[in-house]
Amino acid sequence: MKRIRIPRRTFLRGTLAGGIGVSIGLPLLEPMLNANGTALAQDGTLPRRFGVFFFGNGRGVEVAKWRPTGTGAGWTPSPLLAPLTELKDYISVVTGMNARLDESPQGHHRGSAAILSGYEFVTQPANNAPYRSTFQKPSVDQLVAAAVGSATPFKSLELATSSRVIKGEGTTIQYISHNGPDSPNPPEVEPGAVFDRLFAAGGGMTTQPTTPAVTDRLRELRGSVLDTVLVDLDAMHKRVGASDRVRLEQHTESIRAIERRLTTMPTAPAVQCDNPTRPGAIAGTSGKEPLAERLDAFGDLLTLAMSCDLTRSFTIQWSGSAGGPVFWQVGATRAHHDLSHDGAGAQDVIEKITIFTMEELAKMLVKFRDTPDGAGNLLDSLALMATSDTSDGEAHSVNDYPIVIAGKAGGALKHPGVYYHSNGEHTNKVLLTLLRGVGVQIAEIGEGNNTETEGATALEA
Amino acid sequence: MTSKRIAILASAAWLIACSGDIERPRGARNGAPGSTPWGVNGPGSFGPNGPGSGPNGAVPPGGSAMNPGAGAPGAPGAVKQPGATLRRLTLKQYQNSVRDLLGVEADVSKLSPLGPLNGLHAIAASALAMPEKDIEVFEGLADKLGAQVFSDTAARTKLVGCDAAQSACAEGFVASFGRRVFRRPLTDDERTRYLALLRTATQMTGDAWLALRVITSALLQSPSFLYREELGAPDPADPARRILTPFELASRLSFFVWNTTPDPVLLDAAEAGMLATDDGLRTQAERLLASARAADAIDELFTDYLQLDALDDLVKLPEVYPDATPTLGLAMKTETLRTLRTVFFERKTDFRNVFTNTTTFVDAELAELYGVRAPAGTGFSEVTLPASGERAGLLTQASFLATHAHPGRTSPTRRGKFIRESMMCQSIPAPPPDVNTALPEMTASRTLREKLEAHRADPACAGCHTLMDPIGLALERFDGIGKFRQTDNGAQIDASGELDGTRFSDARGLGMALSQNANVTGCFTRTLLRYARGALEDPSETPLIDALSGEFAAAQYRMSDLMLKISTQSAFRSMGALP
Repeated sequence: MKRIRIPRRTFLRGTLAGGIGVSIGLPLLEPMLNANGTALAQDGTLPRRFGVFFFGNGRGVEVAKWRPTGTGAGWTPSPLLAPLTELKDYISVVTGMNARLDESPQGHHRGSAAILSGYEFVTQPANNAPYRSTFQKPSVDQLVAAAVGSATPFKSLELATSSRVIKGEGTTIQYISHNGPDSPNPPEVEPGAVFDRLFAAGGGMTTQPTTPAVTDRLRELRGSVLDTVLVDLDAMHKRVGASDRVRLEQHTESIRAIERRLTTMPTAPAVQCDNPTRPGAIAGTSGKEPLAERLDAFGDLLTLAMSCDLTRSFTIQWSGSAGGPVFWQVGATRAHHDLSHDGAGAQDVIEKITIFTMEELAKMLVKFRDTPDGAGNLLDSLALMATSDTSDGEAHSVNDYPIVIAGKAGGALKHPGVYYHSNGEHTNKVLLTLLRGVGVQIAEIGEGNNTETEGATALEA
Repeated sequence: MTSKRIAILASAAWLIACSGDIERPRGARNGAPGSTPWGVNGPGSFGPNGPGSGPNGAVPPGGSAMNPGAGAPGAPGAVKQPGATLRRLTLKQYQNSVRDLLGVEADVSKLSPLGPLNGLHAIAASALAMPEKDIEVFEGLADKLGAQVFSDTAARTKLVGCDAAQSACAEGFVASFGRRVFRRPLTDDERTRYLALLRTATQMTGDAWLALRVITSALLQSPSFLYREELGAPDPADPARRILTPFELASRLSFFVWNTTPDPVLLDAAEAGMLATDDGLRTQAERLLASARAADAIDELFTDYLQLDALDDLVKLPEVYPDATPTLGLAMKTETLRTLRTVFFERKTDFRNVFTNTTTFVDAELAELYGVRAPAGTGFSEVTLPASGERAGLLTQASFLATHAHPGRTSPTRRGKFIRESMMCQSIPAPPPDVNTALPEMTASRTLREKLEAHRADPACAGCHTLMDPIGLALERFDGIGKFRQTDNGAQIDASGELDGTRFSDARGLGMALSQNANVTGCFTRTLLRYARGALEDPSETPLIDALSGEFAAAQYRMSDLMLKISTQSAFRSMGALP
């Protein structure tokens, strides 16, 4: 019996109640797979996804409470990692690695740049103005986006549950996702706004009710407008200096991404990707950020985004580098960063914060696990790194770095997951494993003594 | 909470971002534990040009160890300027420009605020790439705004001014409106392309007005609208220098003084070559400064400079500060902006008065917080603060006190740090690595002053904390949301303090000391120049900063005079090479 082959890259337009057009991809349907169900009939490989879950200020001073017991697949979660027990088969934990950089210790700047990009950050001129540093290289989510991002409507997605970030020291610790120096990808905090971005109507030129014929013509004109913008960018590119050329090149890429989304839309509505429900507004006060509620909504959105192949790379900033959410949920009354320096007496609250963080992470991972995807679930194709800006936030240490990995990365990562304690290897090895695991061709990461060419083989299948 | 714990909390209060270590070359360093961080010249030598420069920024001939390049003013080619660059429109600039161009309000809520960098969003706008998310938003906005204007017959007629069905009208609109949106005439190539787009749109839709809507949308998402070019042309006399084109200069002036796109009068003056002369430029600068629109623009300047956006989302523990509603935070912001606008533009008073001013603006909520009589109605009114009280000047306004504090208590260190860094342009050295903030048990500590005393006694901490705490402690009679109090933890508060040798006994004394400190006016001058140019000054520009500070003083510290001086400097007309 001949199976109907549906091209994977089919983005469809459906409508929500109220007649708002949405553009959504098909979920990975069986007819898209090859006869064995292990690869796309057309492309040959199932998509793999990459995510970062980032929490600030480290895991706490008492490393014994973080480190699992046992080794290999027979490991037992520690008190701080206990919330992940249910998912243990999909979790690997790494300890003992160092996120070394050559730049003098810069506390949170160093850890963030090391674990999120593998490279030094850059301290920028300040005279006597406030300090400023930036990423030298793209963050790892953008390496993934560069490799696979043009295959999806959105190259990546940046989300944040907390707004209490450090804004006065440059982009390095204000943002998680970077395209390079002075080029952050700011996150979205409101789930509703994320939904609107992912599932917006054709946008542009369709804000007034019109006939389908006019709508089509307006969409074509929208493409012509974008072409004009591209020529304007090209002309400006010839006038400006080197660093501005980079800005304009990135601007150009963004316009091309809009054009791609535009041209892959067919003109007739067809089957929908579930019935996406717009998340409602989430109430919270300035002193009580609704971190768990936001992450819950993000979990649903990411489930949808991955299922419908809207993006394959995402970052979630649960709390910022040196960030200051007040974790009222566990009874904290001080901003997280301040609390992390309050000495031994504050560590019980710090540990509760870490446990709470792991609990909410676990809930999101359970959603991914329970969402069918191809022959398996969303965790099967995902490599997610959960990590921080330091190991011990009080000492600003970047040694013995806290790294939790979730997912199978399409079979590239060991399953069941393992606990690996390293004797001081560089965290860049983990970055290589994860990047290669999701299909990024990368020979090495890091510079000078911190260059790595081999991954963390203990984690690799 | 034990006093040890409180002491730890207090000493950690200023480790806002734990951003470095003592070896990192930032400001004066001796590296030896316990040594003062300002190097060999001792306290008081923190001039605006950093350690080693005198209180008025004067640098010893030949420079100093800390300012190697800055001691040879006048040497040809010695002065460098910030490089030529693109400056993206800030959210407010976009909104203001759209209002001036189309007469409608743009919803900028989905755009990323971006930055600040080096303390200012104006610098971030020159440096940061535009995020993909924002480019999508700008595209959507461009269409939405076009639709909004062109679906309204009266609005579109007003905008276009003739019948779109006439090709001369439509083509004229492309050129004239394009000139306003791009802040310069379209090039021949641009005109050709946009006219071609017009023809395509007209043919495809059969609707001349719809076609103009498409053009409008295109112009608003062009990089020539979203970025301000400050690229200039090479200066024949100096290869390291570029001179702004008349239109670039018009934009720079307009965004500096009005925070919006150049108006038709300014564009015409640029086109007629009137900005090429100092007199011509001054005429326009004076025109802009005399307008009430200048007062609107300083809102953005001071929101940027004083970090007032933090008040949009004030984080205070409700159990400690039940009065800290979201509306209170916004009211605090309004109070400060109204005060500054009044002092600087409406009354044109001496800038230094901002630290000693005994009047302010309150609504009912703030009046309650301050213990003064509430104004009639729901708006803001000016009130005179009680002469017998301690509240006077910007630093006793709730906006400052609440922002530089913790969710549950005050932070003298944070308040002192902000004053040092942002109001005196003096770097505070970063904390050493692995700083141990645990202190010995304190007995009988009660006020925060007593707890902080402990870590000023420790030589490893004292070097930095003596720069900050004696300033912030003078404000201790104002709690974490700016309410006045006589006691802290049941004990009487001692609000005495010290700033670079000047002692005072309360907040009013601190205000007086700041108003008389040359570093403050010098720093403001420096900051205003940074804001105007969207870049840090080059260290070789010290003589320019000194000269401007001198002119600020000579003009009785009137801010509008300083803005006029800045706008008519040759440094305002030019910049460094293309980086």
